Amino acid sequence: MIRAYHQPKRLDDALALLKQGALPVAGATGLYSTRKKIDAELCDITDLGLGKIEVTADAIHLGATVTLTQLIDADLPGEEGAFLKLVARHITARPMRNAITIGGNIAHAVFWADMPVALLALDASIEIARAGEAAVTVAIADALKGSAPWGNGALITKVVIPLKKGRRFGYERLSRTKNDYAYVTAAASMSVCDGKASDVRVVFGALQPRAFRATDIESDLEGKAISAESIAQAVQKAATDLPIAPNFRASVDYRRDVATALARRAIAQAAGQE
Amino acid sequence: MKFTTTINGLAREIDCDPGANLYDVLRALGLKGVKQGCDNEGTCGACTVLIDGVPTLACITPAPKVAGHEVTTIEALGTPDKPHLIQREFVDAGAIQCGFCSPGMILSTKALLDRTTSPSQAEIAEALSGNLCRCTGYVKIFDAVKNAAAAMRKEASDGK
Repeated sequence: MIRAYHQPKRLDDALALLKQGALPVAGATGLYSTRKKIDAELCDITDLGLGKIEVTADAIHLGATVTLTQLIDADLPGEEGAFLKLVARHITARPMRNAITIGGNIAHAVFWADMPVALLALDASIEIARAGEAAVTVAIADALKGSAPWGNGALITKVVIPLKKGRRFGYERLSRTKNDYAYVTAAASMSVCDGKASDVRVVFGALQPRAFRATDIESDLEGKAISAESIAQAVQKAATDLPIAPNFRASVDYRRDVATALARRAIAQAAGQE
Repeated sequence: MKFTTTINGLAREIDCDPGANLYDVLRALGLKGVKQGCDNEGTCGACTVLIDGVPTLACITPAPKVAGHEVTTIEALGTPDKPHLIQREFVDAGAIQCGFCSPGMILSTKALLDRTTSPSQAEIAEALSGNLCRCTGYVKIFDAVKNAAAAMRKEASDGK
């Protein structure tokens, strides 16, 4: 039962409510399908002024309540900007994207969520605020491992995406229809200099409760010349050990086959080979 | 809880459960044009309304979110005797069969055509991407949107 619906205008007021046990809600797209399990007061965080996009010389700063539609419609710089917009366009449909926020897509943490996959490939970091404490910045890769740094009074307030020259991205996802949840999502990023790959990131979504980086594949490709063969080899080597949680959507074997194919394609795109 | 909002141009005071969604509140006010097809999942678009002109899914929107904002439902667009231009074009193009998706389709179309009266095929597809129709196969709906856009352009050039 939802016992109260608070709509504070100031971040401090929101954090005070969260400290007292209220649950944060932004786009609310996941609220009504799960509301029977909720017994709490809610704190709507969409009036706190966290819906702004700011671009500096070296980063894109996204307020936590920036919606996917805002991302798609915004003028964002670099390969990073184009990649973010591409991923946002793959998430459900227009009216949902009008509501879904970047912070909510991380914190709501459904296993098929696409944005955490992208943010791992982007080396993004998130800012976490808590009543009476200074805000802390956490790398998304750390935030998605172990216990989440949000919740229990802590709120994601910002997502920061570093702009790095020469970085390229690849993104592949398989779903039954374009709007449906993904069976598997794969993303990759790297910089290629003198034919050699550096800062390689290979990310999978929808295989585990949280998106994760395939560090075996990354280290296999790091510092090496990239070819279709080297990509296929690195992915194949990691395939049998890829951790895939069973779910109702498709079998583990099927998702393993799909994951390796999508990873190969995403890496090839990031390497500029497709 | 109590809050005030504007629904179809009229100031309204709403008194509802803090967990109520906008769909239930609108239906309770007699605005039956808002439909529910997918049981609070946000996948069908039948409950689409406009909040400050932006297509929004009423069945997954907490009702208190509209406090201080403007809600537009299909009831504000036209009447059976005097349909809105978009409604007329949907009927003329045969873009309506069972009619269950039509309020959502028409409101999504309105939001699109309020932004541009020369939408591309891709812009129409994007604007209607959240509205499922199980009858028409969408071709007639695209025709209706294009015809409505052309009619609006003509109205504008005729200086009406």
